[in-house]
Amino acid sequence: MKRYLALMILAGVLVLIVLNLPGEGQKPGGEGPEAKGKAAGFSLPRRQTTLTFVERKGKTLYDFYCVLCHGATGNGDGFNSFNLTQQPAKLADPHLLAKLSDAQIMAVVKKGGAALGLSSQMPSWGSLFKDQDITSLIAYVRTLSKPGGE
Amino acid sequence: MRTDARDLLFQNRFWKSFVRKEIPVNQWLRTKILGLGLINFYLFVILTITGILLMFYYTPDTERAYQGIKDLEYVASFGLIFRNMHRYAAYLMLISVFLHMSRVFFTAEYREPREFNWVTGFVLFLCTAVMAITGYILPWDQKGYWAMTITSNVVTSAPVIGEKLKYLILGGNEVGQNALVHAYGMHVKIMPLIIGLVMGVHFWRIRKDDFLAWAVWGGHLDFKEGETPPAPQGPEQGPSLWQDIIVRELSKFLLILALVMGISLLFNAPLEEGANPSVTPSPVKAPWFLVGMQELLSWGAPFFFGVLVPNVMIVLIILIPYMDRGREGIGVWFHPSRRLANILFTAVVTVYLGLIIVGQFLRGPGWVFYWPWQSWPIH
Amino acid sequence: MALLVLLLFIGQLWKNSNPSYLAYQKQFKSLLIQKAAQKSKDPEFRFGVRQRWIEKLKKTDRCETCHLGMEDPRFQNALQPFRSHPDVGGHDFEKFGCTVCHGGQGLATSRNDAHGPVENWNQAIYHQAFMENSCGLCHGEFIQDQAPVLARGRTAFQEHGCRGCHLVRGKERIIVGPPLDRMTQRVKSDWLYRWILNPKAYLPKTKMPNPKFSPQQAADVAAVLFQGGKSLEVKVGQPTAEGKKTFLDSRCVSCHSLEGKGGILGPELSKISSKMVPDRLIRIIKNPHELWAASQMPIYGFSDQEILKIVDYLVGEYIDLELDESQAAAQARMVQAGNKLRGKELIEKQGCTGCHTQIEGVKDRGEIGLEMTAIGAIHISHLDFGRIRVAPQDRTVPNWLYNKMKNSRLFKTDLKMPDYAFGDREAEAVTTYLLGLKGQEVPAAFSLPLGVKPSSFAPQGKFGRVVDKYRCFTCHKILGRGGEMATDLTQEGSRVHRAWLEKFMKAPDTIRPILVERMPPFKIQASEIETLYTFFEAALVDDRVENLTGTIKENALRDPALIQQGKNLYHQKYACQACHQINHQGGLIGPDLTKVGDRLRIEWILYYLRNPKAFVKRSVEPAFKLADKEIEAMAAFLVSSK
Repeated sequence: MKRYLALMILAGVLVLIVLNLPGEGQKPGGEGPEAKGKAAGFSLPRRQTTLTFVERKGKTLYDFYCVLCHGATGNGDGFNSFNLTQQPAKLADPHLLAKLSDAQIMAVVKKGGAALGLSSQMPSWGSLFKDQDITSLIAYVRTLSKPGGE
Repeated sequence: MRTDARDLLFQNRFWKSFVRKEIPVNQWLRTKILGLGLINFYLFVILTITGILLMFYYTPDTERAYQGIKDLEYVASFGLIFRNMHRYAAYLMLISVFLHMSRVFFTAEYREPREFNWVTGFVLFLCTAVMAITGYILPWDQKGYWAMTITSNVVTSAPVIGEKLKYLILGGNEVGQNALVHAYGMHVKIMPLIIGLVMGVHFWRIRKDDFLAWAVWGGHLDFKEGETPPAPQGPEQGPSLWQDIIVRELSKFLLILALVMGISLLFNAPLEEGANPSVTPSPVKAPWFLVGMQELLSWGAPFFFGVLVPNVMIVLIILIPYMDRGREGIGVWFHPSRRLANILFTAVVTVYLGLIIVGQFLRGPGWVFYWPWQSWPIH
Repeated sequence: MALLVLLLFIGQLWKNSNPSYLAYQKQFKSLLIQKAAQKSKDPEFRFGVRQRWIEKLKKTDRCETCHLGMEDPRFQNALQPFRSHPDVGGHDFEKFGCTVCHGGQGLATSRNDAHGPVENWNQAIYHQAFMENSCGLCHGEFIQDQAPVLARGRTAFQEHGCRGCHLVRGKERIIVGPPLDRMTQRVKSDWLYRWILNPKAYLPKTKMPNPKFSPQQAADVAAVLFQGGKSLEVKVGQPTAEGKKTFLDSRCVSCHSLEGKGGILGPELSKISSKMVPDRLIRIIKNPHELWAASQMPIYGFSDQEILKIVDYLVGEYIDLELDESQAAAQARMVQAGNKLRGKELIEKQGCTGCHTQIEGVKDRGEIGLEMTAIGAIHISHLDFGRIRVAPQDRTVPNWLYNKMKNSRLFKTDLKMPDYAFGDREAEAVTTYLLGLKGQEVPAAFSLPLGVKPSSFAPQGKFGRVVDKYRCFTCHKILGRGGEMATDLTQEGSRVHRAWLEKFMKAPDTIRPILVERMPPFKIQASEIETLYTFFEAALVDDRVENLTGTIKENALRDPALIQQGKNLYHQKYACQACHQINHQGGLIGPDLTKVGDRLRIEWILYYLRNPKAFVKRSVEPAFKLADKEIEAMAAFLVSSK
């Protein structure tokens, strides 16, 4: 009898504690049975891009300065490219990019096409960009030649 | 060997000094109770120790209290465990104090000569409730803040002194820094002192009143005025049996400790967002042990339900031993002669428990009744 | 038994004293050891919580406990949580911490608790899309380039007239929609009905949201608007070739769109005859400011005959081919039979006065929407998700706002807020802006307003009147005020020759051939040109340019050797023809440089070659560092071009 009673009380105590735990938070408001949730149009903000922060900074620069000649996807087909005597470099070409080191790209951006013996229609941007900017630009340009694009 | 070690530990004057005269140990071992009173003491010990440890990281400042709790949770070693232990030991204590009181009632052990002890015991019960209330607000989270708002509003329904009483409790007109400091002072300094003193009296009375009635009277159901307890019968208490009691009590302590620790390891003590006076949760509920009162109050007539009924109940409960002078059935569970009293008590307890259940689980925003399967509206 | 229990829970205590961050820290330590492989000594690493206490901002950030590589450049390409933080120039962690920009629970040291939302901390780390919202806290209202999403959101908030219904303390309430008085004199009733029912069906780029009325409700509202006054009946003739020529020569497409192509400042014209009554068309072309003072359309100065011919052409040519005549007639009847009382109730209830003024019989009730001053700091419990089931970890304020922008009636259908149906990008931008409205101030040590405040330049007198008549600010910027469709005229006095300006104003041709937008040929009078040039010469000059007067002699500029040198520089060294055209040869990015000497003053050319970024910072032109001699040669060449 004693043991039975003791156990009962213990059980009761435990039950009370466990029941008490969720307490007021049991019913967060408004979860009715008729809701369809995501199907009804609730969407989460999408991740902007798979680019890293540095690459995104480079993309901002690219989309303003470079895209006019080199094209949005780096195929050398920007709208101004047809007015040039030489087609701008196809930055999306993996073979081309593989042959160029970061230092070489930095040189051509800083000093213009003449730095690599290319056409001077590629201007020198050295006085406009800081080294940091060019680094982020290079990081972005390298993603253009990766499969799957952005 | 084992006997020798235990002899050494327990057969000495220290343990024996707890009793005034030799107690029939064998009968004690056969009593049909859990020993909830001592369990309460163990819980009190746990609470005190964990409380002191928590005190080292807590500041009763409205800007730092919540942070302190978070620091305990994330930074202080074992901070989370101790906080959980403190919280759950407190809940367990409230329950076990209540159960202890019920047990004493059902076995009619408040009768002569133990009437005064019933009073001290009930005072301890009230002190426990006060500790729980003051402790509730200390984390300064939404739950505690608004619970204090509700609680302090209840006292305003007292006649004449209502508003002043609220001002006294809060140290101001609204729940704020002063209220926190008051609560902290009460919880950490004043109440433990009072509890310590009253507990001392309680234990002294227990000793003086020869502990458990059943153990003393050995199951004799009637006793006449002036009679002395019969001589002990059965196998005599020997040195080896005294240790059993001590060991049993100590293992009960460990059991309680294990229980509290186990729960604290599995479940985190509830904590809501930091107190934000501009965001009122809906519904605002008092702590679970008081939510029955809140439910009662929601029926209207704040003075009647908020002041009159509780106070009358308290006075009545205190006076129980002085009203009930019967002699039969002391120390026996549910003696038939006490059927009426037992039923009455059970009824009152059930009603109060029912109020708690309704208030805690079946009330939603605006204090509207909701079945558990119904969903609550937002605004 | 007791011993067993004791051992059990001591063991559990031990187990539980392993916080989750310890695993990350051990991982990091091993990475550190790897990176320092060359050195003989093991790197020093202390286990434990790492914290930055930003006292002034009242924030405690323990993020570094797991994000250990935050400040270590060697971890640039590591996986999270060890990746180093990208350089954000000047926001060092000691001063700012982490959560002031990123949000989340800085106090926590476990992943879920720190990133949020958890039960007792609803603010989660901001999604990448909304990251820029915290910039405005210190940097104020006007940052553009450094926080483009925030800037876009702010512009959208202004342009869509959100402030008309939603109070934001400290911002002026500007009503962005046109006034709606005397609608009978403006539009046709069936068009009005169709427009109210679905504005985007007529004009996809309109800023007016869809009020989501039922057909009957739309008719009622149209009935209210369509009361009072009748329009003049105008006899419309057949479209003529002359009218067409005048219309096309006037370059209306610079501001108006035709079938989606053209400018966005004015309404779409391809179905204009189904919308406007001819009388109104005439009056608009004659004097757009009479009917709407805030109109951005200039007064061309056409003669009445010309206007009639234009209107004949418009009415005859730009008809709505998909419009069914009988349907239109039925809709007109619906409007006529509409219940004005119900319509008036609807207008008041739905808050049309948040964007439109002068609705007859309807009083403006002010801002009827939720106050936005501190919407970024609102508590999630105030936001109603309605019947949409959302997982707890997605139940955050940014997500609610984002979805609300995409579909304002998603959470509850019978709302007053009309449906703006922003696309993904715009919704992100507006949400970012709203999240930045936290109603909080930062300590002065942190506040660093950036960007340029809107200019309050409001020219008066004769110049002011000319500028007002032709609405120059619609396209041009002068001293910070105005639009960006055309040149910034702030230094125009230093830039152009008077003779050229006079010729240009009478018959504008193009300076940038690639652009669709052209300056319209106003019937500007000689006296008006005089007023303009006087002001340009007196006020819109720059001393840096003026000081170059006389630094180069006329003869020097005519020296053939110098010219030849300049030509070589132009074509070979600097390859200017990659972007500029001379005599139809060259690139299309920069302005046409044919006979540029007639247009630009020599001082301007000299100064510009020295420092092209002096006046227009956001141009694609690279900044070549030309030597003085090179500048002279180049100038000589340019001026000599024929």
